[in-house]
Amino acid sequence: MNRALLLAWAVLVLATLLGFGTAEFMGHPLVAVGAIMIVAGGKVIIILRSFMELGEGPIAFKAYFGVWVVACVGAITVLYGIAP
Amino acid sequence: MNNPYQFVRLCAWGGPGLLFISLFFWAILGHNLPPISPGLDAQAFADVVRANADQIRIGMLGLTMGGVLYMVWGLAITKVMEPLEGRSNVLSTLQMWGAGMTSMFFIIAPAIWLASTFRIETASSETIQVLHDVGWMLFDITVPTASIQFAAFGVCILSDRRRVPVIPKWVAWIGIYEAVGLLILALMPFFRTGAFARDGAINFWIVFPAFFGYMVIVSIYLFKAIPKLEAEEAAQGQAKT
Amino acid sequence: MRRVPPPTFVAEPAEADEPSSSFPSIWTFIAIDCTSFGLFFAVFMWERMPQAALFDASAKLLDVRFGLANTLVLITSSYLVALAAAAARRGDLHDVRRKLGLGIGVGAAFALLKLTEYSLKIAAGITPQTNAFFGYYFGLTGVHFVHYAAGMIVLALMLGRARRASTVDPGLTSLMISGGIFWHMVDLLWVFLFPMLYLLGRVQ
Repeated sequence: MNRALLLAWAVLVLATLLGFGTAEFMGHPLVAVGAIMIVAGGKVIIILRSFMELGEGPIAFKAYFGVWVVACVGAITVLYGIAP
Repeated sequence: MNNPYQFVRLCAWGGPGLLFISLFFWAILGHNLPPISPGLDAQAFADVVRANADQIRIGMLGLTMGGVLYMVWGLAITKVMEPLEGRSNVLSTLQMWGAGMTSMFFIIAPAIWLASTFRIETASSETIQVLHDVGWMLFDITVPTASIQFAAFGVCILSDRRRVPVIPKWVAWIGIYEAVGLLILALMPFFRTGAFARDGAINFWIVFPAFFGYMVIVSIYLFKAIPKLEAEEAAQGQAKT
Repeated sequence: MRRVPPPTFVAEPAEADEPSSSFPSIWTFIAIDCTSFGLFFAVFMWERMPQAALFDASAKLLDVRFGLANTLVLITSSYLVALAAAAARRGDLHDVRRKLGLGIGVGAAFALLKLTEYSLKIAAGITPQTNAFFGYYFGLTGVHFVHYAAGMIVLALMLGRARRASTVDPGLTSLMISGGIFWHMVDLLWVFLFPMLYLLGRVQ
């Protein structure tokens, strides 16, 4: 179990460093923002599943947080995109 | 046979009563849906009050006189907490005082808003605006009294060791969330516009429905808890005979 | 107020303290708190729309290195606390204390970084009143900081309980898990806040 946690931590750290480094180089700004937020969403899911063990929880909570992550990523990206 | 819960139901209706008064008198008549923007200059602000003075006066009168129902509701909560908390009455006492103090601000703040309409023909715009600002400080920044109330109630529910809890644990967690969440109003004095202002997307449109929504949930579970406690009481009475 | 003595009726004994395999009830709180932050994100992005250029220019004034460092700090602290909870499940009290202590130590760096960052901004004349972006920046990171502070208190209480214990009892395990979940939420919220506040404005 500790190995799974270590792996999660490593992925989170890598995603943070890589995402930060490449943020400015993704061409179209909306694509960059989408990528940044999707990576952030991925990190949140890793935290929910690996650290918080949401995977073992009731389907209602799993579904709720799944929707929540998608909604946050989607709302931030979409509202960025439609801003003049 | 004396039923100790006889008046508790009546007191529990204080919650729905206050909710109705808040919505009808304070929010609708009182022109608080949404509140008049604190970003307006004194003249513009006061003009809104002047244009709606009569209905605002009635609205604020309603909440000033009705605000005491919050304390009455709090007593019902106390009576439901007592069988849960065992030998120490710290939690129910904190809740009772918290409810009582919060009730005071449901009375004092609207009384000040009421005063702003009393000499509406001659009052200066600055005076009207400042009176509203004072009222809002007393309404928003005093929420820790409610936080203490909700936190004590929440902890009490969580400590209930019955196989079938009198009140479900999720109600406790919503209360604990409310207790902490209300404190975001502490940002209100820093902003006259935007989401953290007293009429803002967060500090009004999220915080207030959440508060009143929580009151609805608690009221529902109070009414469900009372028969359970009456049954426990009756069973105890049977056991003694 | 005259106190009515409690009835002698004894509540039926509950199941033993929730076994660590049952879903902790704190998740209700987590769900509501995350919902609130989701609404805060939406409000921020909505308010940004009519003044995107101002928001982006203001965001560029933030020092990304602070945000980045804070992200790494919270991720690492979360990891250590998760290890502590795993140690509790194994009954390894010594490891619980060690990992939890490390988690708190690393977590403390967040406060140092955040308060330094706030001080530098204020010293440079940037306050919540400066413009709408900074109002949200201070407001949202401020609300998050209050969560962080509460989390640190919870971790300290957990460590205190672990120090006083002689073995890992179900109550301690349960506390480690629930307290850990709250701390992971603090981490998770920052994972969204950091890019939204610091990175969106720097994208070309």
